[in-house]
Parts: sequence; C-alpha cells; structure tokens
Amino acid sequence: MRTGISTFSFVGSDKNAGKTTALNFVYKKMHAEGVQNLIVSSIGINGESYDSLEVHPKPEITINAGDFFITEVHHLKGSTGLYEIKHLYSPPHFRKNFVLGKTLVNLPLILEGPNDKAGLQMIKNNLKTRFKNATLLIDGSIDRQFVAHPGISDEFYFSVLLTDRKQQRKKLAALLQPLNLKVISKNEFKFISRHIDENTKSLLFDKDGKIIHKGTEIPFCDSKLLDKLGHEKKSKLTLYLGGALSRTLYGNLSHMSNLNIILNNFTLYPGMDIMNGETIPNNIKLFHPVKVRAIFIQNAAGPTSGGTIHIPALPDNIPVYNIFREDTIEIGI
Amino acid sequence: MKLEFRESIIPEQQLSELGFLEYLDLFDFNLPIFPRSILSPMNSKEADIHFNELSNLVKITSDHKTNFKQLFKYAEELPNLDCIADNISKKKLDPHQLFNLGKFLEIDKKITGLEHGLIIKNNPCPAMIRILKTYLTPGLGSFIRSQKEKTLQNEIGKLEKKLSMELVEYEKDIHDDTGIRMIYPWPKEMPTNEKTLVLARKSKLVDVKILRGLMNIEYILPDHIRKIRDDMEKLVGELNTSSREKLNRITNDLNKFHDKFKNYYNSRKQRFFQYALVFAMKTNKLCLPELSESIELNVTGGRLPILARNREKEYVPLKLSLKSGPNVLFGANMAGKTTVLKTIFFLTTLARFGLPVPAKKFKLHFPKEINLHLKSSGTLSDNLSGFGEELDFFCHNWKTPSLILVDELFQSTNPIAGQELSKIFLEHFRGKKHILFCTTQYPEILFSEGLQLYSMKDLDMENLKKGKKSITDLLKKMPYEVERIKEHDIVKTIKESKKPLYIALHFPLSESIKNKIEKRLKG
Repeated sequence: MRTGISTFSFVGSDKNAGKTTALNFVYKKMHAEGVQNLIVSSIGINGESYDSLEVHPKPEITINAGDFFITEVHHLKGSTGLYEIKHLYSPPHFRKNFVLGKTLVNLPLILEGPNDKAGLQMIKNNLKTRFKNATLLIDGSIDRQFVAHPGISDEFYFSVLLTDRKQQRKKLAALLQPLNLKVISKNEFKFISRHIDENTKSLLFDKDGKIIHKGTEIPFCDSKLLDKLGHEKKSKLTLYLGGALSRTLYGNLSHMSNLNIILNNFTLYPGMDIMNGETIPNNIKLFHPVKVRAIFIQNAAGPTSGGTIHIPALPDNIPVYNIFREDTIEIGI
Repeated sequence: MKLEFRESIIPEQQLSELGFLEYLDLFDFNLPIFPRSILSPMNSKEADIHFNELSNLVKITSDHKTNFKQLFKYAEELPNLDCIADNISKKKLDPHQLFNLGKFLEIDKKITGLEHGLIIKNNPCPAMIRILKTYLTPGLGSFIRSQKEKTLQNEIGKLEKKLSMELVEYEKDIHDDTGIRMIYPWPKEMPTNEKTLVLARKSKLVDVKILRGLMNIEYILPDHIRKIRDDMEKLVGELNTSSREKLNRITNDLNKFHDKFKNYYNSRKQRFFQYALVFAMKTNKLCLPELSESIELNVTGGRLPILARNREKEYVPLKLSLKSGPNVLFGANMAGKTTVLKTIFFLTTLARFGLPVPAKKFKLHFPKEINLHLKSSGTLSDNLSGFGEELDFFCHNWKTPSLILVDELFQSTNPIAGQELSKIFLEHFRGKKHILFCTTQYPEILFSEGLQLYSMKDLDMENLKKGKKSITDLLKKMPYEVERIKEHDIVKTIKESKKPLYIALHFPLSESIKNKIEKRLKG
C-alpha cells in the first residue's frame, strides 16, 4: 500500500471543459469508496459563483462531513462552527491565510489554495507531517506549469471540451499531443539530474556528456544559449529545457536535425499555433513522465457528431470517459 | 527576518561593493512574527539605549546559558498576529484568528520558560489562554459544543445520512421507472432513444428536455426529500448561529486585554529582533559597538567580510585608533589604504543602523553623520571634475560630531596645489569635533602639525625583490597593517619612495618597460 500524500491534479483544456465537475465526480466516488483522509483544494480560486456564459451557478464542491479541505479564510465567512481548523498556512510564508480544515457537517465551499509552487510544496510538506496516508485532490490549471512538477502532482485527470470548432479541436490536439511524448532513459535522467537545480532553465550538452551551456534565463531570452546553439551546428547535441519551448526558440531549433530536446514536463510543449497539430517530432522527449489517470470529455459538438467521440492525438492506454453522457457506474478512478 | 537598509542612506556603489546586503543575510532567521524590517540610522540617544539593551541581553543570556536554538525553533512556529492585535480591540475576531492567537499564546508560554531573567512585564497571555480553553477544543480549531449543539450536530449527521439514503432510493426508483441511472453529474445527457424518452416523459420523477439532439434529464425532487434537505439546512443554520454567538462571547472576554496584549505582542516582536542580533553576533564572531563619551574611534580585529571571505587566511583584520581632528594615513600604492577607509566606513555604518559589527572590539563616539569621499574622475551629470567633486564634498556643513573619510586627499589636482590644499584643509579640522580620516601619498603633509599620523606597514624591500613577480605574489607580500608614525620615523617613511617601482614589476607589463624600471632601480 502506498504511503504518503498522493496528489491528483485536475486540468482542463478550456474554461468550461468540466474540470471542477470532474473533480467533484472523482471526489464523490473516492468518498463513497471510503478513501481515508481526503483533502480537496485548488490552485488559485475554484468555482466562480456564476458561469460566465450560461449565467447559472457553477458547481461548488460540497465537502462531506469528516473530509478535509484547504481554502482561503474568506471563503469560510458564513461557516463558523461547521468546520474544525487543523492548521493555518499564514503570511509571511504564504500570501494569504489558508486553512486546512475538517468539515463537521457536509459543507459546500469555494476552494482557493496557493497559486505558486513554493506555497503548494510547503503545504504538501506540512501534510506529510500530519498524515501517514492522505489523498490530495487539486483543482489545477494547465497555465501553471508547476502543476506538472513531480513534487506537486503524482497523477492527472484531464477534462477536455469537444466542439465542432476547428480552432478548438486544434487547441485540444496540442494539449493532448505531449501525452504521447516519450520519456528519457534512466541514464539520461540521472545525468541531467546531476547537473540541474530548481533554477536551471536550459542545459546544453554533447554526446560525450560535456556541458556546453547551463542557463537560468528564460531559454528564448538566453542569448548565450542561442549563440552556442548557432555555433555547434555539426555535432550531436542535447538540450534540456526547464522553461517553455516557445515559438521563437522552436523557430531557432526546428532546423537543427542534430539536436535532441528534453522538456522538463509536458506543460512546456509548444502550443497549437506553433505545432499546428502536426505529429510529434521524434527529437522531443520528456524529463518527467506525465501520468494521466483518466480523460473526461464534455461533448459540446453539434447534433451531427451525435454520440460519436473522436479525440485527436490521444494515446491508447489512457481511459476516456464522458461523465455527462455515459453510464458512469463502471468508471474506474 | 529580512532586514533592509533605508533607501539612499548608504551610497549605491558601497552598498554592493562592500557587501552590506550580504551582511544582512546573517540576521535572516525564520521569524514569522518579525518578517521584515527597514533599518534607519539611529541617533546617539537611541543607539545608547539600543546597544545597552543588547549588551544586557548578551550578559543575561550568557549567565543563564539561554538555549537560542530552541528559542528560534519555537519562534518559527510563533504566528504573526499583526492584523489580530487590532481586531481584539475592535471585537472582530474570526475563528482562524482565534486559532492563531491560541497558537501564539501556547508557544509564547514555552518561550517564556526559556527566558530566565528576561521576563516581559504585564504578560496577559496566561489569562487569555484560560479564556480560549473555556471555549475551544484542545487543538484550538473548533468550539467546545454545548449539549444543545451536540444534539444539533447529531441531528444534522442523521439527516445527512437519511438524505443520502433517500437519494439512493430515489435514483433507484428513477432507474426502475425509466431505465436511466442518475449518477453525478447532473443534468444527465443521453443520446436520444425513443423508448427511454417515452418512459422519461411519462415519469413523475424526472424532467426531460431535448437539447442539441440529446436527452437532458433532470431531477424532480420529491417533497419528502426536499423536506429533509430543508430541515437539515435549518439545523445547520442553528448550529452556525450558536457558534457565532460563542465567537462573540470569546471576543468580548478577550477585549479587556487588548491594550496589554498589544504592548506585550510588540515587546515580544522587539525581543525577538534583539535575540536575532545577539544570536547572529554569537555565531558569527561579531561584537556590539561600545559608545564612547570622547570623540574617538577604536577598532580591534575589524573585518570587511566580503574581502575576508576572498582572502581567507591571508586576510589581516584591522587595528586602528582615531582621535578627534585630522587623522592621516600614508602609504604606498596598493598597500590597502582605501580598504582601511572602507572598513571603517562599513563598521561605523553598521553601528549607526544598530547592528553588531564584524570586529573583536569596536568603540566609537556615535557620529551624527558618516561621509565618505572616494577617488573619482568626476560626473558628467553634475558637470564637475574629480577635483570639483572633492571641493564640493568639503562644502558640506557637517553636523557635529561627524566621521569624514577621504581617500587620497586632493590627489585630484596637480601635486603642488594638492599638497597645499591638503595642508589647509587638515589645519582647518584641527581642534574640530569631527574625526577626519584621510589617506595621502603627499609626503610633505606628514610634517604638518597637529595630525594623527598612520602608515600602512612597510613592505619588506628584500621580500619585495625576491620571489615570483606576479600580482598574486604581490598581494601575498602586502602586510595590510596600519601603524602609527612617530615623529622621528617620518623621514624614514618618506624615503621608501622607490617601492612603487618594485610594485610595478609585479604586473604583466611589456618587457621593455620592465627592463627600464629595473635599470632605474639599479640606479
């Protein structure tokens, strides 16, 4: 049995992709299955009071009596006496006051956790001292690249919105495409791990393991990195990136057939406007694997699509569910 | 505890070059109660009180062998109550503030247990924790329930279970009635199926609409389930109201301590600031400045940490005594005169901000101002040459007593005029209640009357001629020590005028230049 804090993050392809609904669904299922020490939180704020498009209340999360939550103190204003404070994560270490609480009755809540990696990591470290085993569910955000850091999330649930719009389909493809990226070998992982730290944004090395450049600047602004890449056109090189593979950088690198690129995590993969939904280049790999537990789809496609689901660029081994339309009883989480 | 110097007090260049900012890292303890402070220069009265308090703290903590490590371990857990202290007087405390207040009171009790001989007077904490413990559970995270509240909570629990079971039954009924499984999330969307659609439309348990060619199924909650939900919400409301009343009672009870607590909390913050200074002093071999009645400055074992770190064992700490009036430091190029000046500037500036200093002993008459003038080639923006800048520096009307540090006095002009001006200005400072400390290479100045004279300890000529001639070698040969020049030594001191030629040989100059220098040396 696994011990420690298992963290599952929920990310969505679009604003209304059903991310919070998926979190609610998984939470309810885990609670029903008797998972102990369930803690629910969010990166930043979850659940605006009203859906901006359809003007009806967005689903808030009801934390069942006896479960845990982490939220900012203002969201507990009307709930005096209905929860127990277990710990307070306060300034100056945190920007706001976040409560680790245990509900005494079923309590509908807006969740708001720290919006930065350091804050989330401090909370996880504190949780480790409080629970031998716990499951942390985080309403995440794909925009926050740190969510993909292995120190933050163990596994992911993706929520994706399917529509008839071509642009949206391309965007979705770009989101799901990095799930197909291969992961580097153990030896490569060990080698790079020895040479990087939290601040490393780029590491360029040759086939003999000679470090040509180590940078802490955002890669596309790192003039020394770009200079060195320009000068080393012939030899076989590997570039590790701890920052995004941006349009400018990808433009500079795409013609270099001798270059292998290793991205720290899947959120650094170029956006759809750069890759244009094309197949994944063979020379791009991942440093940290992306473990996707399941993909939940919300099919907002028109009647012509009917019940047929076609998701572009999806790896074979990841289960896909439509929790809005299917018989969800059989869904394994 | 992040300390910063108030902006614009220390010149930007010295701030980074002399390592002022790195020095503040010595005091960077994890103190949520005192997260940050901007240090301002003190006046002599404030400095006197401050350093006396620190000195007293050093004595008492040494006598009682205070466990600083444990103190700081507790302090890491001591919550910051900056926002809460005021809320006690306004009777506006939230549960999370009570929780933090309780944590503070509990940890403060442990801290006072370690503070032998240092008790903060008028401590309201024991009385306040008694109030909190009357109302809050041992972890301070929730209210102790009255019998009525316990009953309410039990009822709510029962209703939650009942509602859950009723919903399961209701969903089972829907399934039996229509074949549809109503599992979250709702409303359920399903591909249109004629048979199901007919059944759903017929059923009184669900509402069905066709949206985008799909069946959209929604609950029609039966009255008995609505009633359970409404009853439950009512009881939750009662429990909430009762808890808020309790919260009001606690804040009322605590209110009478608001003044005492605010004072105590501020004293506790100040105390930890002082602990941080003293602990950093003990662990980094610093000392507390000692304030002198007479205008003087004595330093023993003074260090410029940024330089000491680079030179390691080769670093020579500073020993120097300056008196009121003009003090002149004579010495060869590269002998370390400017470093001496900068070290004095560094130590005195730290003292002015109330910090312990990197020295074995540091005694000074607390200056109202510290003014440093380093060699400059002038500034275009002020339209002043180096010489103009130096004259401008001396136009300042310094508050008495001030410490005035000048590097290479009037070397910004031709040597004849430079010597004359130096003599005039030094004479001007004779008998003034300032300490003027300047460096010079003008030998004639040394014959002026009423000066405290110092020189950088001589390089051993024999040693200078020997060995490798490289910059590294030269730096190793430099003694970097200051000594007093006695009257009968002045002539001897001046005679060592050929040293710069030997020094030049240690630089990677062209061979033809080096040959010419050697020829001159051979005479």
